[in-house]
Amino acid sequence: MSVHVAAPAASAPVAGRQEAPGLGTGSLSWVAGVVSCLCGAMILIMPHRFQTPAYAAMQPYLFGWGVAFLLLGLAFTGLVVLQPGRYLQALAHVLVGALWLMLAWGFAGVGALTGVLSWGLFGIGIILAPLLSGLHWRRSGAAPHSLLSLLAGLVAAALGGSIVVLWLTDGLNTPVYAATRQIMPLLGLAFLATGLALLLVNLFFATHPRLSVAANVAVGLAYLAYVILQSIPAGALTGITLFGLMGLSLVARPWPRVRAWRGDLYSLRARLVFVSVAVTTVSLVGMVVLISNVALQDMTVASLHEIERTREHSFVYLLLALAGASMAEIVMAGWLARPLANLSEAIDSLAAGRASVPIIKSSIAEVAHLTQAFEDMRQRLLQRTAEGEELLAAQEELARDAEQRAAALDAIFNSMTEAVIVYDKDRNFTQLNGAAREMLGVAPGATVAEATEYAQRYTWPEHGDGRRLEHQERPVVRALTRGEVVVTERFVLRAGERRTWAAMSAAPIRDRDGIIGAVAVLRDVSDQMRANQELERLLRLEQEARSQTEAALHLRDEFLSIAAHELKTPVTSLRGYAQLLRRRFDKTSELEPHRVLEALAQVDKQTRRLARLAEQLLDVSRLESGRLELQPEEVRLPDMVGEMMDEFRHAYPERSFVLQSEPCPPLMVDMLRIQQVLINLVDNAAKFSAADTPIEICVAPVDATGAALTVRDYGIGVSSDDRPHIFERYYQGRGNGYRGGMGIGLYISREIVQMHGGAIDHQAMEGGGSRFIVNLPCGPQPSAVQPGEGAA
Amino acid sequence: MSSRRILVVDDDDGIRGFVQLALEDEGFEVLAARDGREALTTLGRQPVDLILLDMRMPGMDGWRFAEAYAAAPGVHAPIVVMTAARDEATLVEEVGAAAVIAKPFDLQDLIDIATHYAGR
Repeated sequence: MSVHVAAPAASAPVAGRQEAPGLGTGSLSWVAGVVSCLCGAMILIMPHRFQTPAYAAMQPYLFGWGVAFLLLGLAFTGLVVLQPGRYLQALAHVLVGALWLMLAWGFAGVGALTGVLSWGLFGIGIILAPLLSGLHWRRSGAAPHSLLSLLAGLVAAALGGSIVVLWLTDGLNTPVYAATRQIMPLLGLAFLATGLALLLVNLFFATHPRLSVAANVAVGLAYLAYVILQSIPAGALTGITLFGLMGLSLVARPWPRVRAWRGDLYSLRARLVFVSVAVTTVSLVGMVVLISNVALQDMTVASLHEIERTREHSFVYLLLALAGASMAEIVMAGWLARPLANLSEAIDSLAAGRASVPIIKSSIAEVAHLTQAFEDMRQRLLQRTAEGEELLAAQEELARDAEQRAAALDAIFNSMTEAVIVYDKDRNFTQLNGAAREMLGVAPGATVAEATEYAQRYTWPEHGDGRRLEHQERPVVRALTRGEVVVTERFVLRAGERRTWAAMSAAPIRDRDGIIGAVAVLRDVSDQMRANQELERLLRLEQEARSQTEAALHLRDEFLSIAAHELKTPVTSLRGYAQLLRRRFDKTSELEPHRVLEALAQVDKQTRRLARLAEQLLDVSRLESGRLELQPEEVRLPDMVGEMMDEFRHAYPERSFVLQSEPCPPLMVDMLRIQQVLINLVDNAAKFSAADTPIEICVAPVDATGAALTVRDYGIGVSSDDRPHIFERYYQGRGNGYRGGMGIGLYISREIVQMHGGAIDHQAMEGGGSRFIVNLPCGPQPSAVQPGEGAA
Repeated sequence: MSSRRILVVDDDDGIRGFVQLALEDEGFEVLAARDGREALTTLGRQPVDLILLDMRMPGMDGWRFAEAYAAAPGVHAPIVVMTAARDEATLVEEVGAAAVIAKPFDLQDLIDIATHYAGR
């Protein structure tokens, strides 16, 4: 029996690939196939057992039925294992289902109700199975897993119902149920209850694991009970086979171990086993039938009974032999399939990255070849993998090294206070650090491309004087085009309106093909340049101040030397006359009076001259220290000038003076100082003009608020070089040679006039000569005094 | 022509006056000029044995006179510079002077120098 136990057991978990998407038909195929095979074998080996009225319909063609059942059954079982095409499957289902329906038809002829219902319903189910297998239950999650289970429930319910009906209508009084009439109602009720339950569970609670198992097992037990209580006592071999296997398969459903075999159904091993078992079965059955029929030909009636017994025994032996053969075949098939399974496992594990699964050597040539090929492949793969891993490790090392270097460079690059810009061949930026962005005025978030565009549009280098650098002069261009290394050249970097002094270095970047870019480093030296410029400015100022001081010192030295000269001249005369008189007196002990008078006149003249020089020097000193004080008094300018004319004529007896005088308002001035101014101007006029030219003096009112005093000569005039300087202290005209004097007369005059609130000016006259004009305001006067004095 | 002739060139009347008197007392014939140009004119009329020359004068000053005098043909009398300036050595070089006498000078020194260069 073992093959038949194995068969339903293997089929029980329901069947393989079809199960998942729809209604599983695998179990039905298994059970139906095995049932058909067994029935066929029994019919062929024990035909005498089928001489009962129940099988009346098949008796004339018993051998044909047997062959049909056996072969169709084997084929049907093969469907599960061999998985042929769709049409072949449909054909097998139709043939087997038709066979089962014919059997049911036969039972109908003798009134064997259970036989009709069970074979008929299962027959219909088998025919419909290919259609139902694709069926998807609408209420998802409640679909029955197995057509076998569904049909078993249906058949059980139908059987139970009919038995109960027969029992209630006394329909059980047929010879078929003679032996079991008492127990049939109970069996009927059990069928009805469990069958309905299984139907319900299959239709509505199929996914509920415990309910499903319980219902299947209950129906299975009901079938088995029917076999034991009804079919065996009645000797109904087909019923025993059908219900027995059905019951066993339902009871075996929940066994977990059985489920684990499921995947094996499609293995090489399972197919080998099936094929060999099928061949064995057919051979054995054929042998038994052949031997039996040969033996039968010479048998007496008495020994016929003996043969029948032998046949029954031989069926049992057949089953045992089949079991033994099956075991051996399973082992053999396993041995044959093992290297392949092992290879398959090795390939799987290799695919999953484990190369360590050992490969079993096979003596089968093809397999050995395959395993050897695989082994070679695996070794090569391993070798390559190892090489690849080494390479990868080396690459990783290199990459890490490069990464570290890049990180270090990045850190340096970004922390530098110098602006660093890396250019490509076309003078686009490829990198620039924060300092560079700041110096160029690039927005902090701008990309390198945007920075390039901005810089090329808005920034350029300039010379210190604001000229743009020519393209070829630019350090980066020089580095890029000529490979020049530029070291800290100073430029003004213009970024928009901003000007930054930058010390710029640039160098080309080369690879083996030549210059591929350049790097520029810019340092902001604006502070330094500003400091330099400030220093230069200060130096210049200092030099100016020094040269001014030097000029002043030089002027003063010159003045001192001139002053000494001027002072020495009268002193020389004084000393000379004094010594002259003394010598004469020593020689003759007497002095001629006219000589003495002449000498005294000279002494008087020279001492006055000395006094005047001393006074002038004192005035300069007073003016410089601000100690010159005016003592204003009311002065009538025409009167004052008129009185001074005698003095001038006396001082310059050979000169002719012309006075032009108009009445003027009285002035509040220091008379002595104004006289000093006039004397200065007349002295100058006399000094710078020829003796035969007149000196004109003019007094005139100015707008009733002041008076103008003018001295005009017809002398050499003032050169245009000297004109701006004639009123400066110590200045002496350069253009006209030596004229004596210390270069302070006009200076003192101007100071005095300005202290009075007036102005002194010089005009160069056409036809030669100079005119000095002194404008004097009336000055602060007591209003009561002026009219009174004016009236007087 | 027993007496020696001396030309005094000075713009200052006082100096010119007493130098002339003092040298005439010593027996020299003394000519006087206010500036270089007058001196050159005088020298064109009659040669002299000594020229006493002031440097700073209006018109033609001592330097230009010395230059013009040196450029003129004939025998040249020695020049003695009378100056109130301090750099005597420079003056001697500049005008090719025989001596320098600093103002204010001692009358005896002047007479000694005149006697020395003009002879007697």
